[in-house]
Amino acid sequence: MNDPNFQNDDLLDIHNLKTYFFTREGVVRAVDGVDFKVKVGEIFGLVGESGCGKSVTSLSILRLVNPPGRVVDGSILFQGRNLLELTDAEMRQVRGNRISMIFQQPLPSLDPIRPIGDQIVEALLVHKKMDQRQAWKHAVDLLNLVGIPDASRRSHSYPFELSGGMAQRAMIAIALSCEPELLIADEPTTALDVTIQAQILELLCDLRSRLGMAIILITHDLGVVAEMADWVSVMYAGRVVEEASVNSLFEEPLHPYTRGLIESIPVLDQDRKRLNAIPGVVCDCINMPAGCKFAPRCKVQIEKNMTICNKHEPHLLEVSPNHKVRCWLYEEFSH
Amino acid sequence: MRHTQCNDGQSNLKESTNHILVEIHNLVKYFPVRSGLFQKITAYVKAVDGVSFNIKDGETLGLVGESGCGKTTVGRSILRLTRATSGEILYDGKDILKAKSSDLKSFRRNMQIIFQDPYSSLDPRLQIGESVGLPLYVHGMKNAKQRQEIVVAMLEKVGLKAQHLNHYPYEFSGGQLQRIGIARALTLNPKFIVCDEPVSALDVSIQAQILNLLSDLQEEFGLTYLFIAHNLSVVKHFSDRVAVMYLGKIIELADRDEIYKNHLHPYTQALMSAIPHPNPHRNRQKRIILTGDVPSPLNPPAGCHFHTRCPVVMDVCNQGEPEFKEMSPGHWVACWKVS
Repeated sequence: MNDPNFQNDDLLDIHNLKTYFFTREGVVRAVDGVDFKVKVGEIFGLVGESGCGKSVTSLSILRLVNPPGRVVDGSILFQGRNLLELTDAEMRQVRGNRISMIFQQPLPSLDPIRPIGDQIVEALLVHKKMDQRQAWKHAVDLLNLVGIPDASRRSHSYPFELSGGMAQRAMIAIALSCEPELLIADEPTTALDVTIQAQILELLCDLRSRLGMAIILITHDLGVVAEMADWVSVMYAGRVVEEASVNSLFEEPLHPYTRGLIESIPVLDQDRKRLNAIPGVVCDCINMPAGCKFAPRCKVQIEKNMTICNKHEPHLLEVSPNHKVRCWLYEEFSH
Repeated sequence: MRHTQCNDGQSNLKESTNHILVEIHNLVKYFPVRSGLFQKITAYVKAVDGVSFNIKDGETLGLVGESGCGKTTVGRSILRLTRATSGEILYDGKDILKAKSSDLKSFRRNMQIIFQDPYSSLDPRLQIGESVGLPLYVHGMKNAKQRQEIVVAMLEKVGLKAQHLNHYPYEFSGGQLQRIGIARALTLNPKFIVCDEPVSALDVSIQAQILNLLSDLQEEFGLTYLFIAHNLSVVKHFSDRVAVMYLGKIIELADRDEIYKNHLHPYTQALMSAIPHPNPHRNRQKRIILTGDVPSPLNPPAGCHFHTRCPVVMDVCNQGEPEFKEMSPGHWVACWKVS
């Protein structure tokens, strides 16, 4: 199935991805020129606030964007093949088999009227050509793998009989059933309690090292990213504004938005009387500002009175080997 | 105007900081579970099971715990939005649970609540001006012009403008709606506000704005907060003292610095270590990961409720319930290991 020319260790290579929604009110540029690469076995964090386009990016990878949305430009190379050029039948072989996804809300994502074992078996029958008995046995093994106690009995449970943490484990089991090379986890722990979140994060880390799959971890929680990810992209208004290795990003955040995000969360071992909040709200997604999309909320832009920010959009520049940023402050590095 | 007058009164109060505003003794709230043809009561969900604490004038008490631990029920019981099963809630020395419904109105003038979900806590068919002005109308201010003056003043306090008066909730973002919810809670000039997860539905950058707003308002109006949240770092940032709840009981209560530096209960320790820290170097150390889920409050474990998940469980833990003891001044813990 692999492209014979596929040699390097980039599992996924997204280039200039643009997904627009053509609504009656106007065109929403939900994802507007996103580039990133995910390496084999890597945990790649995609961070941003609601509406920044991180979920639409992941749906675009799986070609699950529904009208009025459409991928209008770009390429998504998975193991060297452009997913956007596959036929629907070929795409079905990728979806759930090579790339699978888990969602924020486990319960609405599971079929409420079928036992969870049955839902794992379904994927195995479609993709792995197992018979019913083998598939059930494998399903129970998977439930064991994700840490569901008493798995053989639990495989007959319906989703409503599971707690939030257990349902999330069951969904991970379904996602893992075909041993995908890439798992997209869209806010996998946001709906869970802190102690359960810790369990699920540890499970994901453990599965990554045991199965060697790559994970795209989509989250708004910088703490989760710092803990899990190897490489991070920060998104704002449909664009990647900063991309770096996790250490580089947290040691030396360059973009004013990233800095603002890091400073605005209360941290246990620090005492700050006031939080450094980012002023204003995320810009209107139909009438975006002309220049840098963050400029109206940017303290640096206002302090230094940089007129260029409101006129032209900066490029994503490589400032140091492990660090890219989209901001006029760093534009001198390119010359 | 009315607000400036009350401000002077409250700044005097603030000086006597040891005055206890809200005192709760052994608060219990059981929700009956009915089943069968005749809807007989077959069991009770023990949402709050013997909670005691007090809140001093002008302070912020943080109440932290996971979903289903009863923290919201405590907040709602204090305002008598749900009727407590037993116990005592004293506001300024007077028992709220025994108050007649006619007296309740004057209690509620002084106590307000800010809800978690800003989208569902405002009437979608009322303009913002009406929503925010409604408490004034209910409490007897019939003059529409005066009402509007106070509403505009309040909206400006929370960072909105007079022009927003005639807008409907759907026209606002989550952060703005939460500001409106705060304005509505403040119109009656209350002393005590229950903040029930006020920032957990908001984006990170908006969370910080709302937390800053709440602390500015506290300073300006001398407010006392009960701050309910599941996020321990937010609670620690915002509160003077912190109470940790697990399955209907408070298991640890101490000053914020004490609970951060010297937490004694194994559940508090696990909660602290479970929080993902935005620092990649610090994080990848070993953390305490609890096994299993929170047991059902329908049928809580015998003895210490936490013993089924406790990493340092002992024989005695499933036999008797540990006493809630003061280990050092102001630091209360309920754990067999510690005592």
